[in-house]
Amino acid sequence: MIEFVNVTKSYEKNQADALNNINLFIDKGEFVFIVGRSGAGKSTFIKLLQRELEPTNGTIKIKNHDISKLKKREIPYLRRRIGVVYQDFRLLENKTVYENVAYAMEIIGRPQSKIRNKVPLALEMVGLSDKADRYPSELSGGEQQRVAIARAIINNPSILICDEPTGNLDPETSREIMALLDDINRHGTTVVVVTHDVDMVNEMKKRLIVLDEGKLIADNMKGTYDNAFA
Amino acid sequence: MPSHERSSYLPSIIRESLRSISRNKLIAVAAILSIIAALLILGLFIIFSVNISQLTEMAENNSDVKIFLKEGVTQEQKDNFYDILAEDPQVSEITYESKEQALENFSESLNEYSELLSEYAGQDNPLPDSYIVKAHNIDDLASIRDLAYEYPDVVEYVRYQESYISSITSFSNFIYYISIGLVVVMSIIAFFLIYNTIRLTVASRDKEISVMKSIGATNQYIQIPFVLEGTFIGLISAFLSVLLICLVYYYVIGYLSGSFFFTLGSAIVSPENIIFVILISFILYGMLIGSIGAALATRKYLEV
Repeated sequence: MIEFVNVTKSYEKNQADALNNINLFIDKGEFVFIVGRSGAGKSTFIKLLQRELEPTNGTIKIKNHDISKLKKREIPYLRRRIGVVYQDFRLLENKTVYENVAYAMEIIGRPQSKIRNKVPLALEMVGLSDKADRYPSELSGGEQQRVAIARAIINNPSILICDEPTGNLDPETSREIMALLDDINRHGTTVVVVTHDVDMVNEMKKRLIVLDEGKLIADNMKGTYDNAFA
Repeated sequence: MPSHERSSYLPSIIRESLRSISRNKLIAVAAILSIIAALLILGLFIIFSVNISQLTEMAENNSDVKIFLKEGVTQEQKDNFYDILAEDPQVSEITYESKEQALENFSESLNEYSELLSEYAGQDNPLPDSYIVKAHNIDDLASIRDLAYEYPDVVEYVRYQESYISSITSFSNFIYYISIGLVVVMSIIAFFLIYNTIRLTVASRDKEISVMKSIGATNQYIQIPFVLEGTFIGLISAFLSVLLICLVYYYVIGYLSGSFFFTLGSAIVSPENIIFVILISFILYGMLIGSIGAALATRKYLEV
């Protein structure tokens, strides 16, 4: 599903590489944590996947397609297959919960009839059916992140990328969000969670990839952060 | 997506661009006012130059040289002289006015006092026969006058109004160049106002745009509401400007007809004839400047 072959990304010539010769393969339906301190290259990793950046060297393949070969006008179609959830939720404050989720279908030109059918189902899945008419500012952080997740999965992406999804949330709420992501993963979506929340990684016992100063230093199945370096 | 499904694309972008204008009312109003100012100057100059060119045209049509013939010139001399005039390529039209006709025209122009001339009818008519000559180009009237004076045994006197014609011509040229210059300057100002307005609204929706991009909206999809917004702003400005121009024009004409300038009234182009031209050109102008300004303003923002 996602394949990095000898991927290096450097922003400026004299600086250390943001990512250095990364090789990894994530299969369809996997649930993967990518951990590392700030500056380890996690944000660069996500931006490369969305083709916000292009690698300095190496190739990135999604579903066996080299995404660096995409033309500019094809990039939006790549992004439609990859749902993204951010630490700061990035909801539109002037739209209701329902409208925020529907918006993701509107902008790719889905018909209103489909939107009316599908949005309630997505809200039900994230447990927010009763808050459809609320505005983001009226919701708790955990609820806002659920809206963001509903928006990210509404168009059935094959990959869901979460950038520090629990970074702004308390441990209890974080656990609920992780359970939701696990649920989405069991429905067949490949889930990649970038985080530095070590406790949660240890609790979930999923595949764990560790980045440090742009290098991939560990890749363990059912890993915990404690034994990642063992 | 199967093709029979009705897409929500169009209604949703129109909704978005209208929402955006109402969200950024203040900026939009500032842009509209500035474009109206630009269009008002543009419109006044259109009206002014149309009127000036009408005035010049009238002057040109009424411009002629009147060649008074000597008393006692024979019909043969008249015919020969006519042929000489008719062979001159500068001449467009020759009208013969007999002395009887001249008296009649003169007495008609006196209206109720025409009786005064009755005793001059017949043998005592003091008015001469004349040729009224028009030229293709009013600048050639002077050389037609010179030509006529080459036949002193036929020609008594040539009447020619020189200064009036040439000063109107040079004045209208002057106005023409001034208005073209102002139109260009005003267009540049209006363009940058739209450009800046849209850039501000784009910047104010920065977050929304980054969300749209990460969800996979195409650049056109993101751009179209802003382009529509620019077009709407241009259209609103155009309609308001036409309204203001109409008011000003009617007011000015009303003022003129109440004053002693009334004699100029016949030279003023009536508003009905000119408003349609102004309406169409303002709408086209507003839409073009709005959409192009907006397209350029958003294009820069959408890289990545």
